[in-house]
Amino acid sequence: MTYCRRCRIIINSESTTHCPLCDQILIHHDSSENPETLFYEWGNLKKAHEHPSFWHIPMPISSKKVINTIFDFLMMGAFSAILIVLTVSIYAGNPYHLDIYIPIVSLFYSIVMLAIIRFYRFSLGAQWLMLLNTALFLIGIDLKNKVIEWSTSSGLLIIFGGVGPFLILQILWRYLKIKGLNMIAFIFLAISIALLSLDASLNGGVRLQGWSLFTFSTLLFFALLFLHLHYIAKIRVNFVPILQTKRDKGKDKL
Amino acid sequence: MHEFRPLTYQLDNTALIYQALVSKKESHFFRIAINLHKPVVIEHLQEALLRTLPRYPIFRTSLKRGLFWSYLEENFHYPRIQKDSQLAMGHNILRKHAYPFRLVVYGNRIALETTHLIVDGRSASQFLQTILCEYVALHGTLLTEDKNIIRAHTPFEEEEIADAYKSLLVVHHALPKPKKRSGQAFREPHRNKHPFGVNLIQYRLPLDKTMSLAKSYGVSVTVLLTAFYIASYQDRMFLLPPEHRFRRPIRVNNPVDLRQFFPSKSLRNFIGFISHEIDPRLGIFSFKEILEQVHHTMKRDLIDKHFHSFIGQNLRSEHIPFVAFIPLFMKRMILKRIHAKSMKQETSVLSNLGKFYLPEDVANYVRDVEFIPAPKYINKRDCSVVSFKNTLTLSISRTCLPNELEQFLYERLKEAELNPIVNSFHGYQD
Repeated sequence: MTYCRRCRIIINSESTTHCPLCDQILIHHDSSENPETLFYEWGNLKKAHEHPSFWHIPMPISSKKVINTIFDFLMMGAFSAILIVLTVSIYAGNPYHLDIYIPIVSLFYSIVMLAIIRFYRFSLGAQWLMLLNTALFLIGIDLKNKVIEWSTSSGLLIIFGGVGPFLILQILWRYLKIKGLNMIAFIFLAISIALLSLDASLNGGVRLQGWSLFTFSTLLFFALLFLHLHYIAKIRVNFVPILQTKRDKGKDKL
Repeated sequence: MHEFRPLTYQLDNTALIYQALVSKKESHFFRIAINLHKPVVIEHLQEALLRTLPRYPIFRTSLKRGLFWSYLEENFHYPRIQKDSQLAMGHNILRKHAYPFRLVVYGNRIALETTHLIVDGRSASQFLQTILCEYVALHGTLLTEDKNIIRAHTPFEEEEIADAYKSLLVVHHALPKPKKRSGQAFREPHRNKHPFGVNLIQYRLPLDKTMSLAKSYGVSVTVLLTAFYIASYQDRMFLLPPEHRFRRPIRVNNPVDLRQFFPSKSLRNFIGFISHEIDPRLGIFSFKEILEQVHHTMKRDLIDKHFHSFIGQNLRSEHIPFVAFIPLFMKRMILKRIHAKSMKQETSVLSNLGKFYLPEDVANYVRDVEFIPAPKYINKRDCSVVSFKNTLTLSISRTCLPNELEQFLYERLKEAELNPIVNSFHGYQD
């Protein structure tokens, strides 16, 4: 008879080397050691009401939370308003010209962004929502100010072509069962598409320069190679357990 | 060649709501735990589980999702006992070959976590009783036959897996609709913990003292404890800011085992609810007044006619032909909304499992029994009661951090000279 110190259970068979519950290596002790006496301290009930923490009543609204929310709000609002007003006014060719509607719209934009971050906490859905929100904001400015044409020229390209592929990559990473060479292929594809769309946006959404086409073609070649290795040659490598063990090792060091 | 097709079971009326609620993270498990005098011998327990499981076909299943309905399919996967690591109450039951229950062990404690997808509290306790009897028999104790306990070798009856609601009501179309509840009830205003987790406070009371106190008031133990619970909710309302203080009624539900009214051997869900309400907007209720309110509501509603209308309504909604053609994902969305709405109409639930019965030979092995309710995401708090030998264990699981209500309840119980031993710790200890 032996016992697991971690789970505090008895294991009858002497031949067992690992605990069936926690996989801990079992050390076979002397027969004189009795698990019931070893674990006796745990048997006593902990009296919660004798501890002061039981009687602690927290404040209904903590000052820390209030200050944090105000600072978040102010920082986001001020930052996005300044950034947007500056970029739009520089783009319009007059750095000192300020329209009244732009700060109001940008304030509304920052409130929506703040709400998304607060409620969705940077989840995948929140990232999509933020992209959509930004795109709508740009389209809104374009509709109001017919000179700018920011969204049609480069804004939407950057948003959906430059950032979108990486979000799709995240979805694939979450839902694909085998994450091996196919994931490398998808990473290459995402990078190549993102670079292509960024290049297009830099040139006003029409012409492409040679470098992006070159990177696209080379990365596409590698991507197809890895896809072939994974899906047709069926060389299945799974990175998830390897990554997890590395993460666990990091935890141990900490 | 003949292909093997596993058996499937239709979900019952209560389970239909729960199949909509379960997800990868939320499994709505309640827990019945037994503390033994000695540490658990793992091989014996595994053997006991393997012996018991074929006797309970409804436990030997896994939840499957079809296009229009969820269903339970026979599961022949090897059931594994797990380590009791934390009080998260559940695991991903949508996983392939996952059982809708789990047996977790730590030290002297054997805990069964299961859900209303398959059984109610009474049936779950019967399952645990069988496992424990087999476990004790494997220790070498000769057990005599007991009519109240289902053993692994007891012959199986077809009625045990039947849907008791449906067998009860054949003419449910003719029944009147139940009276509508009046609006939302008071709920714990604190937010849920993030990341999500469950906190537990347990009160261990002497059963004889509690019973004598209930007798002195001329009420049952359930009524007495419900009155304490409602009174502490009323106390908790005083902590709110004045504009929010007494804006909604307090409504506490008691689940009732319907087998006492409609004799049935079904081991699946068969529960009804009795709702107790006080409205502090009308004035502050004294404990005596609350006790009388609860007592008379219980007396009025604890008859079979009260439950007929609720069951009839639930079954009627199940049989609308249009509903059958709605895809499952849309059904789940609708059912989630319905569940959230009904949750907002109640403050909390106090469920009394009653006396946990074990044969005397088996009871000698057991120190005490705990019954912990499933975490509630909207109401934040739930309460359950079980008694064994001379200990009555009252457990409150909550999903928010502050514990004002528990403090008030402790003071109320102390005031009534029940001397509770409060235990805030149940789970893993290093």
